[in-house]
Amino acid sequence: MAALIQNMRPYLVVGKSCSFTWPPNVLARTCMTSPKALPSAETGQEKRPLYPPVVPSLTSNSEAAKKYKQELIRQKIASLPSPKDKITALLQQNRKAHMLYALGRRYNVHAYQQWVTRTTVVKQLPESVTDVPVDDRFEQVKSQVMDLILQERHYMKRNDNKWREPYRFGVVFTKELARLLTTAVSDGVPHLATANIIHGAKVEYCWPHTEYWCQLLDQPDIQILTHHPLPQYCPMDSAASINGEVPVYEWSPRHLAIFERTRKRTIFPGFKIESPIQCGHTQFRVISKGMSREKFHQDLRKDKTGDQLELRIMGSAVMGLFGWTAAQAFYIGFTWYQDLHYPITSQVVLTDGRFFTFGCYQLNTLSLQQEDNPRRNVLFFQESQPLYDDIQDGQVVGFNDDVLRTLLQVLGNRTEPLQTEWGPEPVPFNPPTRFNYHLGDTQENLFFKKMYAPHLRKDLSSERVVRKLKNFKDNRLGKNIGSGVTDIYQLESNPSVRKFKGED
Amino acid sequence: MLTMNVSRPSGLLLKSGFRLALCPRPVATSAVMCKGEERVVRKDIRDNPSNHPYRSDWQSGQYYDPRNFRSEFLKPKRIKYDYEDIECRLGTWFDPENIGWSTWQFKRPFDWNESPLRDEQKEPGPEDKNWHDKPVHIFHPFTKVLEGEKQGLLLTKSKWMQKEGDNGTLPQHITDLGNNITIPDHEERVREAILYAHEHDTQDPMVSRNQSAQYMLSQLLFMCSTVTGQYPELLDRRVVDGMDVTANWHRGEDLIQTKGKIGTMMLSKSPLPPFASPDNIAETADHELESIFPVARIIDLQPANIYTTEDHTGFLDGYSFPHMHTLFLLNIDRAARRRHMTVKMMMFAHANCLARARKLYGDTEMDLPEPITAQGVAMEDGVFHFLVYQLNTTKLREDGGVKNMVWLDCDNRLYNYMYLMDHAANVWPLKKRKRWVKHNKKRLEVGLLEYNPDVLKKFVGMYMNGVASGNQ
Repeated sequence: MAALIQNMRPYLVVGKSCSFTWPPNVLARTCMTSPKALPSAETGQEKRPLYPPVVPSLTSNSEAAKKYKQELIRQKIASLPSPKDKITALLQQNRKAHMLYALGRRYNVHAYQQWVTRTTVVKQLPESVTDVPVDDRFEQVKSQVMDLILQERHYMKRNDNKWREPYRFGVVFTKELARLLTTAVSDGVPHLATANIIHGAKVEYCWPHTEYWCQLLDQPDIQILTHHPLPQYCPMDSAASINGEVPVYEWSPRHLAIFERTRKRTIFPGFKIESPIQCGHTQFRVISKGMSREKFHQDLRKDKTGDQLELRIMGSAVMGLFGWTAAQAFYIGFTWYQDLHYPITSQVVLTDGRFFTFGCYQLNTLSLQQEDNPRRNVLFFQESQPLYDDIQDGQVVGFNDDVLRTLLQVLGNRTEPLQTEWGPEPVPFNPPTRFNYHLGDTQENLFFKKMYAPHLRKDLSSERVVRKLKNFKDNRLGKNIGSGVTDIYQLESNPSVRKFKGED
Repeated sequence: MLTMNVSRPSGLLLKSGFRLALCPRPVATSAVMCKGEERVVRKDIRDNPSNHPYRSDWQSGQYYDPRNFRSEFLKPKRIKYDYEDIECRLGTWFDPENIGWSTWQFKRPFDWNESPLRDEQKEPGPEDKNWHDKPVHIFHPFTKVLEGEKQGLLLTKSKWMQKEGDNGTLPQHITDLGNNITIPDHEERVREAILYAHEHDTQDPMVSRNQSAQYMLSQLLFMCSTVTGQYPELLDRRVVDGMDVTANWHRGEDLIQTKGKIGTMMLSKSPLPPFASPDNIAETADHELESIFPVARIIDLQPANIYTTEDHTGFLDGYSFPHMHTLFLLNIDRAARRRHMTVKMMMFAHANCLARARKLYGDTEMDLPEPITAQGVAMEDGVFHFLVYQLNTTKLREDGGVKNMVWLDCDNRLYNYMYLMDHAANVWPLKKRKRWVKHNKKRLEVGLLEYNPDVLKKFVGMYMNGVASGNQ
């Protein structure tokens, strides 16, 4: 199968000219059907069309022909049995793609990130998250969290600068917090009891946008994976997804310091496809690696870029979650050309160590390269709030209960086994054939065979061609008998012509 | 090339009749142009090797940094020839043995002491305020001790209780706890965790050892913590990474310090109960420590003259989880064998207990009224070593008297993971590497997994110790 796909390597991008055309026998070979596809005697009773279907020629380089070949290849890939084969077939080529990272460092890069992933942002967390019942032991958990804050900021002897960097502090604090909360809450919440918590796995996803390809490379600090997926936040065709606003950025991403690299494209949601646990639940991201709140507040008075911090956090939530959910969708079997028919959801907690930001993402569509696709992906976002204000005299001052409550709700959002069918419907591959090698030798069949498989010409002709040998030399007789010999004939075709020997 | 053609002389013909030759190689400043019949003796820097790190090569003008190229300067270089016999009149630089770029040269070996470019790297000496004439011997987390467990026992003045052959056994009530408490679905979960740790986290064909070890530990801890519903006292535990622990004690005439950041530590609000009764403690007074003569006790410990004799438990006073419960060591960043890992566990458990004892009872050496206990688990690629440590006395200066106690259970193999390697899939070595080592990273399929559930029971027992009694 892979070899077949390789023979028909697509050249999808408009504007690139290709000076290579496939020889007609190669193309014809790919359209040959197996003997099993013979119409049986019963179905043969129907009226067979006299002429083959009018489709663009496989040998020409016209626009219609290119599109037709693209379609054939996509159908072929869609008919592959397992998602792993599909991913391998789709990602065979090294293609120039724009390398995207979750945290962008340009002004208003969030607009581009939303445009490239086709995401609308709703400034409120969905009801399914705000309605999650909070544990009875909230007070106990609260005291534990306060202890943790004190421990990290106050009590631990962390002398060297490496441990005092804001990023390192954020990572350590987040890991401890995640560990604490999943431990404390896990008995009331069954999905966390069997969950996998992964540190530092990379997420990579590539997708075609209208005129170029994008590749996301990302490394969330903590991922929580569960056996069953999260339920959807809003129906796929709801107002939010169809009428939501997506900012438009029509210029080249080069202007935002996003560069193209010819790199092997990858789709990897943080776990391999053979892993038993395949649904993403929550990501924890530490944002202090690239951004520091103090620096932003310093620039606030100078440049009036005060809201950029929030927007950048939002942008990184968009990119990180889009890549994660879309890669999971690929593992299920959907591709850019085989769109989702149920949404995939996940959550994110972005933190600084002190400020917490929550996001819930719903992936409605994978095919972003079509402009007429009405669906958009949705991010439900809550702005950052501090968990505590300060630490004085060994006490936490200004602890914010709402943030902790939301955090517990996000972690406690239950997963449900999927009611709909897991994966896309299997698509059979029926290319319209110009001829079928195994069908009977009608006039038109012979004509096309001669045109597309000229090496079979001599086999197909109705007359037996007898070639006379011109100079026959009999070694036994030791002399050249001459051209007068008329009774020595060669009935086989020319052995030096390469025949198609494989299976159809 | 420098050999110039006589029949086609190159160079500028000056008005005075001289030909100014053009040489692509920079001329040493000591060259002297002369008139007429004089011969030019062109002094080349190759004749006079100096300690100045001037790289006399065809691409001259570049300077070596001797710090980076020490070996180059230590190699003997021979001077090939002197630049004489240069006939200025014809305007040619005749180079009879011009063999191009690779000329051999003898040079005097580079002398660090006389080089002007050498940094003055002086180590701080007696003028430092923390200088002591008597050195302290530091046991840091990367120490690999020669004699293994024997040396550890000597350094901490302990007795290995219940030693049977090479491996010991844990105290009874831990094994009882392990047998009584079961975690739901533990076999499946451990199996999945092991397979996941070896397969799934990265796109590379193999997961690195660090990653799989960390994942394994975090999953085991998470599994054990799922029983929190039944035992709410488990919430009184805190798992911490990177605790900085320091403890000093005298052992004979030597001062020994254990210092450093160790792996993962579990702390609890309440102390662990002691493992041995006071009678057993009194019995240890008769036990003699096994000596490792002729090797000194302090072998492989790093000596240092600048130190402070503070003890530190890793967190400041007033912390709500002051008691150390278990220390988890992983086989990360440096391959460690069983004897290294057990000694490390022992020393750091001892250091924690000692620091706590000093905080409670002061600096004087005494037999403790209440022994202080700690546990340790070391993981080496699926092999578990368990340790239980009980500190009975801080009188560590002399060899006699009550000893501390150690229970060690080594070489518990949790799983045996084997996979078939694809021998044909050796990766071609990159030409950039010095050593062309082939790394075979292609694996064919997930192999056997011989899982031993007893080891998990011991792990659970150690985890649960202090929370539930063995009767439940």
